[in-house]
Amino acid sequence: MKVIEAFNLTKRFKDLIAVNNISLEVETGEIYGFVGLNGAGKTTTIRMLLKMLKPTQGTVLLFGKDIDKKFDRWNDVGYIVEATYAYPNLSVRENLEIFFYLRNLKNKQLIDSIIEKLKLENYQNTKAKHLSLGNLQRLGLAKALMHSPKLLFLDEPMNGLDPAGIIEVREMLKELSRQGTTIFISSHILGELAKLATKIGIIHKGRLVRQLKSDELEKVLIKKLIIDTKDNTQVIKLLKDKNIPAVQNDKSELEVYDNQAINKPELICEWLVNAGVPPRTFYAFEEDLESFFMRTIKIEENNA
Amino acid sequence: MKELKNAFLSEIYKLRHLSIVWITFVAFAMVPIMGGVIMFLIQNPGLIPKSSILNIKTSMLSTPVNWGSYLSLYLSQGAGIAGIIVYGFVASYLFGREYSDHTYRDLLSLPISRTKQLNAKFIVYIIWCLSLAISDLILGFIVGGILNLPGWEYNVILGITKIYFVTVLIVMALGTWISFFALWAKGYLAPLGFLIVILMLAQFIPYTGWGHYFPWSIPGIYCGGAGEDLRNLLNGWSYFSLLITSLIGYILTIGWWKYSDQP
Repeated sequence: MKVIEAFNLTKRFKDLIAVNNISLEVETGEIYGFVGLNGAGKTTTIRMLLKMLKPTQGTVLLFGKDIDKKFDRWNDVGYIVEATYAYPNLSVRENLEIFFYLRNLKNKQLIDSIIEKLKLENYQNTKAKHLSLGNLQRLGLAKALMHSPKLLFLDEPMNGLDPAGIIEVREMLKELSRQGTTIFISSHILGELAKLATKIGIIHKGRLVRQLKSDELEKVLIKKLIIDTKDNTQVIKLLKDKNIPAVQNDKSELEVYDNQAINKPELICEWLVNAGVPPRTFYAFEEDLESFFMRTIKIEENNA
Repeated sequence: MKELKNAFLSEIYKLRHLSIVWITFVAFAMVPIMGGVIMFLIQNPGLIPKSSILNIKTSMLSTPVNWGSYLSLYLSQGAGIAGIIVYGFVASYLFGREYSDHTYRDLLSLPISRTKQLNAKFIVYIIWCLSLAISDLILGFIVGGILNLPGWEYNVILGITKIYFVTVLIVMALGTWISFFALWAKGYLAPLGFLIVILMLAQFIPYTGWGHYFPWSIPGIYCGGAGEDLRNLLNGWSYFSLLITSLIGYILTIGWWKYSDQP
């Protein structure tokens, strides 16, 4: 089932087109990683999906229902938009109590269980203004998750979390996704996003320039062997004889993109040793999401 | 109804541990206390140094010292003027705090509608302002009792109390514009600026002869602060302009929160 559907979303602020004709779909249980540079339009898009901003053009459906027309499923939605804030004069527990009422919840146990889940027990009576950034972020997540939403919008949810916190949240989100929660997440920590997302959307200058599932991403990521020996010219000849093209990079190392070579690097290594040019450097490189993102942006810039 | 109740409870929760609540009570309490001090000085003119402005002022006042003049001059008129400031501050705090605390985004995509959230804020505003008014009235009776003011007549007291509460209601009704400015400008400053401008206009416009149609001048005129002659000019259109102004402020507040972009 399609949980998020956006059709031709556009948002103009006077002369600035912040979001330009974006259409996207997210299915139940998917984790959609939304990636873009600062000012690319990520937060504006998320705000339109949450009805905080009215699109200049376009429609948003959540759970198949138009959010503009008597939408009655906000209790199935949890969110953090940009930085997390809380009522500074109130403790963690009191802040959660406010959202307990605002979400018409009935079971006060939900507050205890989310405090426990996000490891906020020791801070539950601490006023929000005295919380560290990491704990404030946990409070934000607690507010977003307390009512067990079926759809989560998380804009930079890892902000301020320590490495252990990042891992905890990542595992929690994976578990939620396994249980059927749909997650729409944006983050600057692309490595983190790569570990989580089942689908990636790249937004640049307000346009959705690339959208692909994680298995498709796996196929388009650049994979290569990096080789360096005492005589790289000889190695180029040797590999050419085997129908394996190799090119020299700006560090004078050799790069081999041939799939056969990448899949059986031990063979290449053996040939080099037998030919008297044993490798000084030999490793398989796989492009990560960050490099893929930068490459995509660069292509987009060149096409513009 | 349940949603409104829950929104109201959340608003009450938000006021916990806030010194601002007590500050408004202390600020508003200045009205009967200062009135009591002036009454005391009029009773005992010998206590004031001759060079004091108060002495000059006191000598100018030919106010009779009794319950009627104390409650009328310093409670009702105080509510008409200090009320605009203090109630304006209450409205700007209640409606502007979500922006200064940056919590407004948390309120936008919830099962409780935005209209109900604002109605809950208006209910808290009414309760807060009425509590201020009642506390001032009680304090006024205590101060008057301590001063042992003469002239306690049930009918007189009842009449002035009625004027006091109607003045309070008129001032409260005008708070809808403060709430609108708090949402429109996203914080406290603009509504407080609006308050200063409107207070100046409320003082100036009665000189033009149109004060009884200017909503923010009406509380001061109604409570008798501008004299009986001006008070007698108040008519149905005066109250209609007040009602319409309040209603427009309310509609703007709800409409802005409901339909405007909240980036």
